[in-house]
Amino acid sequence: MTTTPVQGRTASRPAELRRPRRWTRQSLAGLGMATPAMLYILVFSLVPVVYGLWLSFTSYNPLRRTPPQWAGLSNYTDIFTSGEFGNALKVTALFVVMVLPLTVAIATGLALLVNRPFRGVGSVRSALYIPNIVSLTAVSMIWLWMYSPNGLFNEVLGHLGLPSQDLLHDEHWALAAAAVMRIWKALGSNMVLVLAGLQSIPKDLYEAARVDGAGPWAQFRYVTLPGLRPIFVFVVAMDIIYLAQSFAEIYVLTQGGPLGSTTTVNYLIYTTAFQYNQFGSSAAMAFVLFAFIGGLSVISVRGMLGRSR
Amino acid sequence: MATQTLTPATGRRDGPGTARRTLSRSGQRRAANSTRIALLVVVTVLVLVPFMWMLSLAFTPEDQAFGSVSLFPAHPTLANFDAALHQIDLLRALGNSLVVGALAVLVNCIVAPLAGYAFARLKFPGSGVAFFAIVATTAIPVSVTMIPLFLMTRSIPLTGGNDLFGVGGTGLLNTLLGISIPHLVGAMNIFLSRQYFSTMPGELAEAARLDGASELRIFWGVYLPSRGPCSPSSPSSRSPARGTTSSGRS
Repeated sequence: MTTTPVQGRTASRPAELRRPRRWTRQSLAGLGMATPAMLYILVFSLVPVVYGLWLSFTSYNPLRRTPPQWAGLSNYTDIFTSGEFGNALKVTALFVVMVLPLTVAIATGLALLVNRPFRGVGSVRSALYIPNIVSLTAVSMIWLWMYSPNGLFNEVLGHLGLPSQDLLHDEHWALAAAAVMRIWKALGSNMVLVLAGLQSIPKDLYEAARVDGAGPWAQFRYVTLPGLRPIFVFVVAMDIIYLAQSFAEIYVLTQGGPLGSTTTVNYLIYTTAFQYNQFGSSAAMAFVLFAFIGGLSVISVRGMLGRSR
Repeated sequence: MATQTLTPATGRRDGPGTARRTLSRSGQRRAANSTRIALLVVVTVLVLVPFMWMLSLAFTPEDQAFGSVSLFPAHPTLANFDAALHQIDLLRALGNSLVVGALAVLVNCIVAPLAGYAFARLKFPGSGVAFFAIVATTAIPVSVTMIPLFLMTRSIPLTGGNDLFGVGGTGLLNTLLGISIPHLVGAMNIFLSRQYFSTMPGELAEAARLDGASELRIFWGVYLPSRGPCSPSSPSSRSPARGTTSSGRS
């Protein structure tokens, strides 16, 4: 990333930013100030990961008073042979593929539109951000109504003279319907990030491009897009991490149906743990999802960084 | 900027035609600007339609809610608000969200800037690894830690009827403190704090140090005030929502 022309700050670093070699009064103070946060992360993030990893090799029903029983790899072999989990992985990947490119593309377009100030630009930016600040459960309820047979969506279809559709109960369309909602929901945050990226591109680069005779398209292609690459890497990675964990919208809109066509991995994890009380295999699924998300993020980030060299 | 693609690239040669050319260029720019704003208005309205519809539904009588609904209800009513306040205990739920959110914001606003400052300005042996580990936790799916946290919350010692070893009772399950636990310190907030403090000049600390200020004093009196009372990206916007979503379980 450092090879991109936008990041021109390679001046000598101040003493504080260099790696410390030994303990001084300052570094001790630093240790003291960072300790509360490090302890919290250790106890409530890292310990649960290790605990969960152990649980994934056990068989455990929390309603019985017997402690978790060691079960070896059986949870992992079970989830991969049942077919249910494989389907959920496929649905999750499909969901990410449906939402991610469109969200990033539309958000970039919107960021370009609101980049230069005009009267009321602030309220337009805020309005576009609103879907992002309402909880996913609440907006899912709105969309549940909108997609209902007599809802807004079908009313519009009716006005266009088209037959009414029950999208959420159609196994071919239910996931796409949820994806549309998620695109709408994710636009605001992506737009703000891309906007920040746009505004971090130095104006001199456009100046220089104009002097070299670059038209608007050439400026976009050779200044804006390369300048946005770091933020795109961040946006795509974060979107993958969030989208691959889709749960609330599925829980509200479709409850995983029809015929499992919207059962994402997280939804399956939830039902396995809290409806079937199989904490062990639920934990195993969570770790496979973890690996899946990690793999997807690494592949996409590598791909995007690789092209810049 | 995208709409500017309509403008053809004009020559750079200055000459007698300059005045006329800038005139036509500004005209084109104005046209491009109005297209841009018209497009934005359309998109903004589309984005807001679900909320308008929700607003309309809120004033629509219950028995017509799933019937044919327009953006302007034919018989507006306040009955739904009455039901929300009296039949469903909405105020109680809002209060719960408020407590969870306030607790999360408070702890975050103290712990995250402290750590972020230390990682940016007061590095210690191992601070790089620790910071990397903290940032890496943002990639851990909620589902991975959900079950362990559920079990840990249940067996916190001396709470909810538990003995010293965390056995026998329900711990902090079904308590507001229990719901708050996963939201108390956001790794992302630590990351953002560190990014912020590392953009600030180190000379401020040098100067304060020469004046004999302690490190905590330098943080508290010099660096933190410049950042404002609390970062706008801190969990204030997230925690209440999360509080309501997670309250259904456990």
